[in-house]
Amino acid sequence: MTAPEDGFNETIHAPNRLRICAALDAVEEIEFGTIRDTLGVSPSVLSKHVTVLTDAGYVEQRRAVRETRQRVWLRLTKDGRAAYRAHLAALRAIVNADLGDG
Amino acid sequence: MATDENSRLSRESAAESLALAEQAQAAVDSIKPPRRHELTLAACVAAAFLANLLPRPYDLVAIAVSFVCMITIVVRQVQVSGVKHRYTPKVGRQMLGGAVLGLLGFVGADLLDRLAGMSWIWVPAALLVAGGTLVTDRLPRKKGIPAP
Repeated sequence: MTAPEDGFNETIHAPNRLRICAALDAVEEIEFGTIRDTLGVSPSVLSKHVTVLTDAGYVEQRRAVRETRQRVWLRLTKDGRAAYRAHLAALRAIVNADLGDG
Repeated sequence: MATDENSRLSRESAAESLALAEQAQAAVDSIKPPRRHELTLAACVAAAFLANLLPRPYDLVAIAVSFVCMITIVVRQVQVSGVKHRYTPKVGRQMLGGAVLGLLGFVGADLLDRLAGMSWIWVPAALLVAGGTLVTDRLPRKKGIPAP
């Protein structure tokens, strides 16, 4: 049997990557510029973390042209969503263990 | 003692991480298209109903134009806000139910117009579906981080 703590994911746990995954989990798809503005991070920082998540197979990117400019849309993959939720469960287990200990 | 301290810090860190995730999700949930989009969409739906008051063949042309406008507005909403929100199955069912009710309203008003000559029925029907569209467009999006 797998304990909730086993879902802890080092790739997702980095603060910016956790925020990116949380934002992506709330939506079907979001534009790069929109998530950048919403999370208040620089394009280079966002790009770096998205690349890490993409390489891990957690995020996929789609390019689309709007008003003659190319836009990048991001979404969580099925594996990415499962990994993010398992990570949340692991975090909750850690927090709840503290409450259980009193 | 040292182990207890490390353990306590990791729990604090976990709580901080959960809070970060909550904040990021709330920020994305709050992204909405401009208000004029939902008003324009409701106006197009009402126009599709009111078009039936026009003589043929203008009514068919007006209905077709209204539907094209509706689809354009929905696509434009996503492009402008830069986000495609994920709807819960419950909200999806509510939206489908709204669409079915709208269709039934259209068919019902059409029957009353043809059989009983109540062409004025299109006006209250249009107001009803426009109001329904505004409510449906504001249905709550998925909030909060998923429960374990």
